[in-house]
Amino acid sequence: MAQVRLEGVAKRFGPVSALADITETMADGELTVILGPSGCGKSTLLRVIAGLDEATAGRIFIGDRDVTDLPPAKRDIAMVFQSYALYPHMTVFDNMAFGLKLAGRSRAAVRAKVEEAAKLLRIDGLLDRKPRALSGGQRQRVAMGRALVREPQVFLFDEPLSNLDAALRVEMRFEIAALQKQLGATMVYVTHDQVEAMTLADRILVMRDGRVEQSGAPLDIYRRPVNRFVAGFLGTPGMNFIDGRIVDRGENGLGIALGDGGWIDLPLAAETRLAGEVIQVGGRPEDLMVEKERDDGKHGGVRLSAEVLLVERLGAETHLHLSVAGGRRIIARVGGETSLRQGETVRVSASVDVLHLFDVSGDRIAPVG
Amino acid sequence: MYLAPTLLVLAVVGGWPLARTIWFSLSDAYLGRAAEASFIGLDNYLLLAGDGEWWGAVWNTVVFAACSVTLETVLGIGIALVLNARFTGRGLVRAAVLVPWAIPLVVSAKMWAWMFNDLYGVINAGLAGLGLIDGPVAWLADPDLAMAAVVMTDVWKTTPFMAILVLAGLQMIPDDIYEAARVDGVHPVKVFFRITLPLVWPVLLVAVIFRTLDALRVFDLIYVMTSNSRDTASMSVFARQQMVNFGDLGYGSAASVLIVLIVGLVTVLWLMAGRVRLGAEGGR
Repeated sequence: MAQVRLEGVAKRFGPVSALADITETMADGELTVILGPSGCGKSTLLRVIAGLDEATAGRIFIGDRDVTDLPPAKRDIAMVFQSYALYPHMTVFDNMAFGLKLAGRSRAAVRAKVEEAAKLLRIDGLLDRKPRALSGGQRQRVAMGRALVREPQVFLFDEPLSNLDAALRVEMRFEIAALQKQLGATMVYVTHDQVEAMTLADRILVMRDGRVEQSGAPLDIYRRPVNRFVAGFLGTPGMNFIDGRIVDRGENGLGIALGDGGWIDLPLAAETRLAGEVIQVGGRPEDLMVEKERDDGKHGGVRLSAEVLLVERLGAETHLHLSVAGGRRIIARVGGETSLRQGETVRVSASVDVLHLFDVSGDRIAPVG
Repeated sequence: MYLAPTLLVLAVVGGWPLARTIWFSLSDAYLGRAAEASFIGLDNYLLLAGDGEWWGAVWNTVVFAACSVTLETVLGIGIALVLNARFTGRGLVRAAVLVPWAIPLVVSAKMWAWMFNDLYGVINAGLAGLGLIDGPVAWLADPDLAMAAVVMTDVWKTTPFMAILVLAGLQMIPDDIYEAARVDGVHPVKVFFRITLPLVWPVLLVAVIFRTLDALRVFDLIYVMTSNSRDTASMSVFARQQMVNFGDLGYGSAASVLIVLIVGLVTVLWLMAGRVRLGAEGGR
């Protein structure tokens, strides 16, 4: 196994820039997820690592080798494609054995290798079948088997689960994670599904418009997103954003005016230089507390009234769609047994230290939270 | 019940002429006196079986079909592979390749007949200009060259059809299979024989059947280029000559029925061969 190191990698398709100056290291034995919306360049990045697309600039290292100018077959990688890309006219066995046979391995060695991988993936009963006689999940396993038998330094996955139904996706997700731990393999995994990213990754790269916006451990990114885009992309339902303006109240410290009477106390007496700045306040649905409106003056630093537009009861939890001052809609996630009803006026509060503040350009305001 | 109109139309345009042809083939009918024909059993067929000119026509047809279809298939695959690659101006080239196919057959046959003309033809002029031949070559009169000239004309005209059919087959193969092969490190030549060819095989089979059937029925091309010449006359040319020139409706009809049977037999054999081949492919 080996690490993958990218140094200033860029990719242009004619006048269009698909990847811009990416410098990242995907550590040995870790599963790195490249996450982003469609068109962000995540698949292109994977294809550049695989050698299926050529980098326009920069160097790519696998282990200590500079593989930038090598063809895919010489890079010591294996790739699992979104559509599985199985050879339709070959049996499962031949699909897995094809590359090995052509590499000149002995029949017995090929057979042993394929059978070992098949057993590991529990497809050893299917070796004589053609791909069209397999279910989606089985094809997925064959595609993984084809990658396994190559014994590559790095496994590359291009949205491998997106063609499976929800239940199978959860199962295969678990199996990929287990396989990765078992083999101690270096894996690079592209997906647009943030649940897959959060659950599988040792490390996530969040991409947008051909750039890496943030990289780090899943929970670090979730808790401390560097900008509004990353904050909004991770989490379902997504983070809520409300416009506000920082106000200096002298001795009473700083606060954020949310318009229409909403108010947040900020415990930041020292940061008066922020006064007057227009900002966005972000709060995750699970961090918001919603109560029936009572005028007892206690509000834990946050004072915001809202009207309940819709109550979605999911059993274990309830999603409240709220309309706050200025007509902006937010979603709060509360317990499954809430007594709140549509049309009620409620008070939204939150502890200040779980809120995220972003400036007008969307960057996180460092001193807060 | 709902099929009745269709069946009626089929019977009128297909069944009736076919039945008439079979009836004539079993009679001594002559052109203009068809109504007075009387049943003579299989006499026409027995006569055909001993007719050297008929067997010559059968042989010509088989040679023509085998040569032209083979060349068209090989060239068609080659052109399709080129057209399937990405390059600038591909759309224009694709359209240009189809031009020979779009020209009416009689026009292209006449055009090539002139180009092959021994005295004024551009082909002789070109070859002489290059110093490859000493005197004019009688392409269409020389028994050895006439068939080659006819086959060449057919290849020129029909290769685009083959290329477009194969191209359609190639485009059904998803790109990522080729990418998987690249990751697997498969040599491009092996990719062609182990991946492209097996996957395009069903399309190729249909295309070759179409072309073979067409080639076995060939008439206009040969008739326009070499008229009734024995050296190139196909089965259809023979049948037309018997019926129209010699007025022997019974004999010509017998030849026509045999053409249908031969074409049918070839089709069945080819389909069976294709299935066996596909089965073998699957068993490996």
